[in-house]
Amino acid sequence: MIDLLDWSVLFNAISLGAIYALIAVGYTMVYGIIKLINFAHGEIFMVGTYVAFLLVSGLHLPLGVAMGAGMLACVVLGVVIDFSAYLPLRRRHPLADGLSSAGLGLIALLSLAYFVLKPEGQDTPPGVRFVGFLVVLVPLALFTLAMLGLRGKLGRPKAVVKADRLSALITAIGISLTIQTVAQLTWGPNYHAFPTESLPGFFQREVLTLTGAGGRITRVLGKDVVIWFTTLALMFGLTYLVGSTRIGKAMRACAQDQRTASLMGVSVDWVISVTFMIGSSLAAVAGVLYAVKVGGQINFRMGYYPGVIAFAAAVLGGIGSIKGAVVGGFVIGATQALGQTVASEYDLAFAFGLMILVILFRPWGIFGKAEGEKA
Amino acid sequence: MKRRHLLLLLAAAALTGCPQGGAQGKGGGDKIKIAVAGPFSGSAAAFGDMIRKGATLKADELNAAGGINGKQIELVFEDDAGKTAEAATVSRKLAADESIPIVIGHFNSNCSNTAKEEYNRKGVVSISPGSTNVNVCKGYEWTFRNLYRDDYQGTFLADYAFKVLKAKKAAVFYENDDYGKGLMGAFTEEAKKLGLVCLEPITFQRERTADFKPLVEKIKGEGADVIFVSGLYEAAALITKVARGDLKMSVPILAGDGVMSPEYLKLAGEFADGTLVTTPFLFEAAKDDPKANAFFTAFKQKFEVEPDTWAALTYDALGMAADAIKAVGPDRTKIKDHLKAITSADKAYMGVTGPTFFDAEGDCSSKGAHVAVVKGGKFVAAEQQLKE
Repeated sequence: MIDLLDWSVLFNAISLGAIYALIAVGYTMVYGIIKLINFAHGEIFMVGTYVAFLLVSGLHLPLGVAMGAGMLACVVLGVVIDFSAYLPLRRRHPLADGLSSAGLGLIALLSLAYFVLKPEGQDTPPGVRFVGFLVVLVPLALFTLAMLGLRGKLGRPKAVVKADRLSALITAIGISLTIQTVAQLTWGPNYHAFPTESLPGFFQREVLTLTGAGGRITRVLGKDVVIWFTTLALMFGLTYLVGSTRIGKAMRACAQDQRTASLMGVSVDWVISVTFMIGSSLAAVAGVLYAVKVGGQINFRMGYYPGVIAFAAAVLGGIGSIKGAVVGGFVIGATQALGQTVASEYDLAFAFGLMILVILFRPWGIFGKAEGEKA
Repeated sequence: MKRRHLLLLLAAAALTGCPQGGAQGKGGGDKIKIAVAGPFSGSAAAFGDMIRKGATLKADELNAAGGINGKQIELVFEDDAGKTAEAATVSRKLAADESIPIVIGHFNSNCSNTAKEEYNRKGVVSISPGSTNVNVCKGYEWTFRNLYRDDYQGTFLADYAFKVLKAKKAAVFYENDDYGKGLMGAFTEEAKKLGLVCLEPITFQRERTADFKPLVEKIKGEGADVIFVSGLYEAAALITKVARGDLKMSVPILAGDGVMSPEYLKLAGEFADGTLVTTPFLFEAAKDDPKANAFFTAFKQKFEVEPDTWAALTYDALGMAADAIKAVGPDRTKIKDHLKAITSADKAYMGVTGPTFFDAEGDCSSKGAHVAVVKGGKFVAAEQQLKE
């Protein structure tokens, strides 16, 4: 009845795995350098998808351009999150202190404005649209300030503050909920769908038809191929960036020992910002690909499950290792795809069960390094 | 510095965490408060929106006509987000507020099933305009509804699939909640009686299951000739898009009333065409009814959108509640006894959706089901209705 080795399972596994790998890389890179699990990563994934969706459905931009804009938006968002939430916990930085206070104050203000302006009903009044406008504009302003700060124009880091790693973790969860709430307020609680006509016709075209066991026909659609090759290209790009460029070398140095790296003249804050930028832009790509794969329906909670699953993938592969995140993503994707055909309600139980099994025997994951102390 | 952050964060959390309540505060002696509880946010929010509009229209009309015995109606909207945990909180809040004599709600069956516990403990009457699960009213004397139950709907759907669509092998997708499971159970049971083969039912979870491709591929391989979705519009739209768009399947897609929402049309787009759904009420079937026409026109004028079934049912539920308060005053026990006594067609409340009267359990068996089909981006009456 169920043939496990059906072609369709294989192709689903590869597509799912590619998307999880893209998200997991963001978790693992940030962890590798600042030992922080960025729980807001799933929300960055959601925001990137939303930006692309708004551009596609509102301005009728081609999907590729919209995805690029989503990546840019996520680059900004990633740095803003780092500066306003995580940097103040890592070290004392006059600019970051100001930014985080300003950021939190603005979020409070926006929420207040929402409840004052929003009358009954689900329709968006102009007031809420104005708030939405602020939501876009404020991070941009914060981003500019952050970049100026990194260039050394707006103050230097003061003494190192060692905040508890748990504080950073809780902050990450808080940021995740905050972004979700702001997204719900701005874009509403309903689902949105990418208009079918906005997607390239190639996405729905059959590129490969295979006959599997029992004469079952499996069709590979254009969008699956797009997912595979986009991921492949990005992974090659990432490998080159980390392995063969100056900034990549700086990243590896910071991952090994931040203080020594900074003594050698590496601007640690800049490296961390770049890490956030790369991870966040990959999350945006993953978000758009994911939406395209599952039928283009998105809402403000869409980042939650993919985020958690990709986090599990990063842990499975060995958090801190890019190779591990990619392999973990594909392993989890394959387990889920298999699980879905066996018992659809337990697909995640299979995936997480495998993760538990692996870290029982190798707590540092497949490719991770055993370390003495970990939070 | 740190303390300031904490305070700001707390303030932000408190603000963003505020429930989306409607008008609060003590209702004075000249006002009668009626609560409307439903999914005003979350993945069933499209239903909540229609419920809110239907209730608002009825309340405005009643208030314009002088209110109930000279007292104006004040609606209290409470959001349960379609989730049981929120519904429990809402029910406790509403039951504790003595100035609220009656609750219109909840919508999702799992919410009704959770909230009724508190309502029956504290003695609060509730009329649901949307919960169809079999157990919603059974054994709970304070709980009523003004539409059919899932055992009726599921049986009806199976009959329709077998007799009208001439299906031989049905693929069944059901959402893992009270509504989805109940409807699926009734469907498969009737299918067994009819000799309609059902493939092993496939379950999914709202918001979590996003990728339906492997699931639909599976039933395609097994040769299903009808797809039955026992769930809400969001998942149904995903299934429709995968079946029609990705896998080029042309088998009929049949669904319960949880899919009858304009949101379904928006999400599924061009692929929605041809989807068949059941509904307790269809404006086209009530074309000759002046009441339905007046409601349709007034609704469209006020909100600039066409009302759906749920708006009409909420409108009627509120009208029924207002009638009861008019007859016996805003007293919870008296209202319950009044509604309990409406047991036959001659005592029925005549609303937009037809006559409403209750059986001994508080269920409403006076309304049949209709089949609507999506055509040109709209729900219209299906050409072939099931003949009783």
